[in-house]
Amino acid sequence: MASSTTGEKKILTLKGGDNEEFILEESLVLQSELLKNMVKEERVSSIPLPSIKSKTLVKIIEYLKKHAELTPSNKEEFKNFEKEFVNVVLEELLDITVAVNYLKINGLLEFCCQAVADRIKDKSVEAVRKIFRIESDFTPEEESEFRKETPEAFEGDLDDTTN
Amino acid sequence: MEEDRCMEEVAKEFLQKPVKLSDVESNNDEADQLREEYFRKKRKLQDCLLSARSWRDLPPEILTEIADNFGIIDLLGFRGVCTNWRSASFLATAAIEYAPDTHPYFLLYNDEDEECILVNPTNDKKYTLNIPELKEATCLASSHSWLLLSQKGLIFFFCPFSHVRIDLPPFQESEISKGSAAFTSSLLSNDCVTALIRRKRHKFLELHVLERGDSAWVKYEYDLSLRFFCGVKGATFADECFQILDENDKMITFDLGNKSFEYYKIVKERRDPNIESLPFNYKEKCFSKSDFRKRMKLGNDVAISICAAYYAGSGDSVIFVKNEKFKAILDYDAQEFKGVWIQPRFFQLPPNYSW
Repeated sequence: MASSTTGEKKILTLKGGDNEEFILEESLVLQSELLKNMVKEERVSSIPLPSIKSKTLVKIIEYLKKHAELTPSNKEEFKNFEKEFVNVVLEELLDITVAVNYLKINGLLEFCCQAVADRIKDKSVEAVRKIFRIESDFTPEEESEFRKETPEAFEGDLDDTTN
Repeated sequence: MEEDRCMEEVAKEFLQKPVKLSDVESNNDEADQLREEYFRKKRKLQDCLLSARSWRDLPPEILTEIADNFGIIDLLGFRGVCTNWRSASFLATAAIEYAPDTHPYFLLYNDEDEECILVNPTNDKKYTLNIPELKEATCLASSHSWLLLSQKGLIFFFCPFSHVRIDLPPFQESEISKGSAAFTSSLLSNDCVTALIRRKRHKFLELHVLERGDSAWVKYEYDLSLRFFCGVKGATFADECFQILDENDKMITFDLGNKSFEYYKIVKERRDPNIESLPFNYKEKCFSKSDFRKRMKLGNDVAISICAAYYAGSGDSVIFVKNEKFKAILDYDAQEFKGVWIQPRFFQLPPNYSW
């Protein structure tokens, strides 16, 4: 399957989970190791990504565009963009992080993980479980052992669940 | 379960109809079809793999990346959330606590109970930790985020946050006192060398040296009969030498290369070019000078015996904190505590690790 071309620029179609199509320059998707391999080695022009919601894909494409425009002079602007990029509800941050990991967009993955870490920092274990909707799967013995080892981590501020 | 089944199905389908890329080159029409089918299946398989979407079931590589952002307290908390998070953070060590020039935390403990207090010097936050291993232990050295402890005749390295312990070969001589030891590098490096220091009847300074992998300590002696060298107040390693300081202004060094001792007097003179400069910066009375008793909100009756520590400063420099005896303000009914400065990191030993 040959890539379609307009002028010199190669165009590529990404298909999100709900079959929405996104047409963009091939050069943009090269920031993703996964897509880069597909494009270079498998010579495809349309890539279905059924596991990624279109909403998430829109966000990621927005990032790829901004990142491609990054120059020393708009560094500050890009930093602000990045901050806003991860300033989303946790559920969306989860979707983005998983998708970015899957697509292997390295710099962005680190940034997303840092954003997740920032939401965990300075919170008690109970608060983190509540915010991230995780039920403990430790045995009661393990649970009480960890509580004994680091009581502070468990007894921290429970009210801080704003996320 | 749903995902498992989906994965199984795709995997089966994938295995039953293997399509090799070499077959594909021969026929163009078919080639495109086959190629597309091949990659459709390959991707479907991957998609199934990542369909588990909850914070708990994040892929381990993401959890590892997240865990690398934490300092010690957040890391301990992260590990307490669920089994997945705990196992994925196996390699996270709270490395950010080890940045050069970062002032170490203060760890306060005593012989009576298992509860210890850890203080972060940047924000004075206090944390309670249960570290039963520190009970009745004397700290001999603190560096590279490890403590070297002596307890009931045994000598061992210890990470107070992961509770990992590495026993060293038995040491037959009498007790070693607080701060009277040093080691050259991280315990994970193959050329780590440990030295225990003791004074023998004011006449000799003994250095007992153990290289990693050795099963016995090797003794070196330095004659003190013509020297003025008081009690050992800490030791460090810099410039390929163990550097041993006394209570006053004397220093004895032991060169690991030629196994020889040197004796120095430390002076404040800076101008004289004939005077060598110390290969490390040292601090005295860190605890009292930075008013830690008040910052930790400790009572007037608290007395602390603090073990020496050394850590990396900026560049290649070494910062060395000497032993400190912090006296209680109300001396008549003092509560005795022990303390040590430490850059808190979480270490677990790689499988098959042996000293």
